Amino acid sequence: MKEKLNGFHVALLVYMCEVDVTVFSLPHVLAKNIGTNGWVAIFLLSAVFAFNIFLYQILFRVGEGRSAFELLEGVIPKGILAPFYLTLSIFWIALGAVVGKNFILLYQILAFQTTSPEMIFLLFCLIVYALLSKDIYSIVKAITIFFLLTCSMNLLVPFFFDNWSLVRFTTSFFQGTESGQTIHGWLEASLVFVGFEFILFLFPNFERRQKVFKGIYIGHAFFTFALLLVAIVSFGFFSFQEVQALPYPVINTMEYIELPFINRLENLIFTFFLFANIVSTVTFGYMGQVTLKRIVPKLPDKVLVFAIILLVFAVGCFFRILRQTEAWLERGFYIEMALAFAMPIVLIPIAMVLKRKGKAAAHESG
Amino acid sequence: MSPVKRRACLLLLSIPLIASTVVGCSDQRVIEKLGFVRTIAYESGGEGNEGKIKVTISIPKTNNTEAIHYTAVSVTAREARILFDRQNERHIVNGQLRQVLFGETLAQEGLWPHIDSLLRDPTIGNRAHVLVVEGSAEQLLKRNYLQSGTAGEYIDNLIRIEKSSLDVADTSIHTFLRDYYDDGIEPVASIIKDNSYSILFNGIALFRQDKMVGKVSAEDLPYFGALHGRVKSGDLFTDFKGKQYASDYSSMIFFSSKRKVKVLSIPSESGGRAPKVVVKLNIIGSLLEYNGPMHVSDREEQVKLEAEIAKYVKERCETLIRQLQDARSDAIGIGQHVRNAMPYAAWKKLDWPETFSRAEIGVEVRVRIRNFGKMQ
Repeated sequence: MKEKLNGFHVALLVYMCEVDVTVFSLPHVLAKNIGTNGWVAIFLLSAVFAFNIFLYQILFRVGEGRSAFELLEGVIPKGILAPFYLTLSIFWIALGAVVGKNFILLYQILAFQTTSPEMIFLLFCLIVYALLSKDIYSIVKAITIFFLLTCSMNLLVPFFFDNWSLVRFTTSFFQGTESGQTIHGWLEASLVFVGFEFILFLFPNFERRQKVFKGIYIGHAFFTFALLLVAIVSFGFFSFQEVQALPYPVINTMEYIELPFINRLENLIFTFFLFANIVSTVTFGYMGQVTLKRIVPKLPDKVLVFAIILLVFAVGCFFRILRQTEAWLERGFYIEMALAFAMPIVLIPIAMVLKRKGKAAAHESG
Repeated sequence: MSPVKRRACLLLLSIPLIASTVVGCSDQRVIEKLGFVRTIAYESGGEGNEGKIKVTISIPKTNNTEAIHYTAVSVTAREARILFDRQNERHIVNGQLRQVLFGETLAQEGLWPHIDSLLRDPTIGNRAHVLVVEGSAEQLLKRNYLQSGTAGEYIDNLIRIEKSSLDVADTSIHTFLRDYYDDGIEPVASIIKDNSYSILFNGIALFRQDKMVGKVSAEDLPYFGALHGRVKSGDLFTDFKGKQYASDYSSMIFFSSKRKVKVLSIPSESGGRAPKVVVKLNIIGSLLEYNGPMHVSDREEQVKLEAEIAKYVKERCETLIRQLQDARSDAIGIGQHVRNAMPYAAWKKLDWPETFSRAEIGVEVRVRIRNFGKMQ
C-alpha cells in the first residue's frame, strides 16, 4: 500500500511551496505598492489565501478526496479535456523553469558571475530530475530536509536587533506609494503566496482525515509568520524610502551579517534558498507530470519525467537575462494565482453534481 | 550493490564532477592571484581636472606591514579601476573593502555618484566604513604608521576601538544610505585627519542629502553621540567655565546615555509655526576626576554635582543643536519624530531642513553618578 501524507509533512510542504524568489523582494514590493507600514498588508493577504485554502478544504470534503481529474472526467469527456490538460501542463512546466532560471540569474548577481547560467541551470535540472523521478512520498521526505535548511534562515533575525528602530516604521499607514493604492499593486504583493495550490494534486495521497488540512493551515500560518519577520526586519533596519529603492532588501540585510571569523556571508546564505526554489520547480513539474499522465497514461514515468526536464531546460535556456525572467515570472504567477482561485470554484459545483449523481445511482441500485 | 543504489551513487558522483568542470573554468578565485582592496579614497580631481575625481586604492600585502597603492584621475571610480587592473600583477577585487574615504572638498560637492556605484557593486559589503578625510586622503593612505603598518589596517583598528570604548558614530555604507534615503534624518560620517605621526578622529561630518555642510568638532563628540542615539560607554570631560559653576572640572568615564525625543507641538502646514521638541538625555557613569570646592563624598553634594554636570551637558548640547540648525542638517533625526507625530500629507508638504533650522529644540539632561571611584 502506498504511504499517505500526514498533516506534518503537508505543513512543511506548503511552507516550502510558498517560499520562492518573491520573498527576497517582498519588503520592496510592499513599500512600493502598499506604502508605509506595508507589512500590515501581509495579514490581510494571508487571510485571503487562507480562504482560498478553505475552498480546497470544501472541495476535498464534497469530492470525497477524489482528484481534480476524476471530478472533471466525471462530467466532461476526456477527449475534450485533453487539449486543456496539455495547455495547463505546459504552462506549469514552463513556470517551474522560469522560477528556477530566475533564481539562478539572481544568484549570479552575487556569485559565479561569468559562468554560463545555462550550465548552472543544467545542474539545477539534474536535481529536479532526481526528485521528480521519485514518488510523492519520497519527494516530501526530501523536502523535510530542505525545510530544515531553509527555515533555519529565520534564526538570523537577532543579528538585526542592534540596528533596528521602530521610529523608521513611521506612524502612517499605506502612504507614500508611487501611484496610490492600486489593484495591480496589491496583486503584485499577493504573488508571494503563490504555490500552495499544489495541494489539489495531492488529494489522492492525503490521509482521509481533516487533520491534513490543519497541517495546510499551519504551514500557511508559519509562512505568513516568516514573511512578517522578513518585512518587519526590513522596515526597521532600512528607512522606508530606502526599501522602496532596493529591489531585493532581503539580500542587503544578509550582507550585513558578520561573524567574528567570517564576513560577507550572503554568498553562503543565499545558496540555502536554492532549496526553496528547487521545491517550487519540482512542485510545478509534478503538477505538469500528473496532468500529462492523464493524456498518456501508458507512458513510463521515467520517460515522462525525462521529457518534462528537457522541456524545463529548454524553456530555461530561452530566458537569458533577469529582466525577462522577472517579467515572465510575474505574468506566470498572475495566471497561477487566478488558477489557484478558479480551480476550486469550478470544481466544487462539479463535485456536488457528482455526489448527487452518486447518491442517486446508489439509491437506484440499492 | 543494488542497481538502484549504484545509479544513485553515479548520479551523486556526477554532480560535483560536472560542477567542477563547469564552474571551475571561468569563476575560479585563487587567493594568491587576487589583490584585495582594503581602502578606496575618492578626492576631487584638483585644478585642471574639473569634473574628475582622484581615486586611490590600497591593497595590503600578505606581510601586513606594506601595501600597494595606485592613484589615478578619472571620471568614475570604475574607470580608474580598469587602469589599476592593467598595472597590478593580481586581479583586483573589492570583496574585502573595509573603508571608503572621501576628501573634504569632494564631500562638499556631493557623494552620491560614488556611493551609488559602491552600492551597485555586489562584491562590496554594506559594512564598509564611510569616512571623510581632512587634508589629502592620498597622502594619508600612502604613509606608513608606527601604530599598525598600513593606513588601512590602522584605520580599521582605530574604528573598532573607538566604536567600543568611545561614542563615535559607526558610519558605514549601510547607515549612510539608510539616513540618506530617510526624509527625517541626515547622514553623518566620521572625519579622520593625518596628524603627522598618527591618524586622528577629528569629528563628525554633517550632511544635507549627499553634500557635506558642516562639522561637529572632536570636543563635541560625546554630546553628539548622546544626541544622536545611544552611547554605551563614553568619556565625558566637563570643563566648567564661567561663574555659574562652582567646580573647575570633572571627568566621568564609562558613561552611558539614553535618548528620548518628545514632540511638544508639530509645525503648521505652511511651515509658519515652528515645531517644539524636547530631547531628554539620561546619563549615568562613574566619576573619576574632580576638581572644585565640593566634597564629593557627601551625598547632598553629590546631588549638587550631578545637577552641575547636567547643566553643563545641557548647555553644550543646546549649542551643538544650534550649530546643526544653522547648517540645516538634522543629523540627530528630530525629523523622524516630528514626522511620526504628524499626518503623512502634512509632513510631505513640509520643507524639513528649513523647518528644522527654526525649530525650538530644548534639551533636558538627567545625570546620575554611579560611583566615585576608590577615593572618598
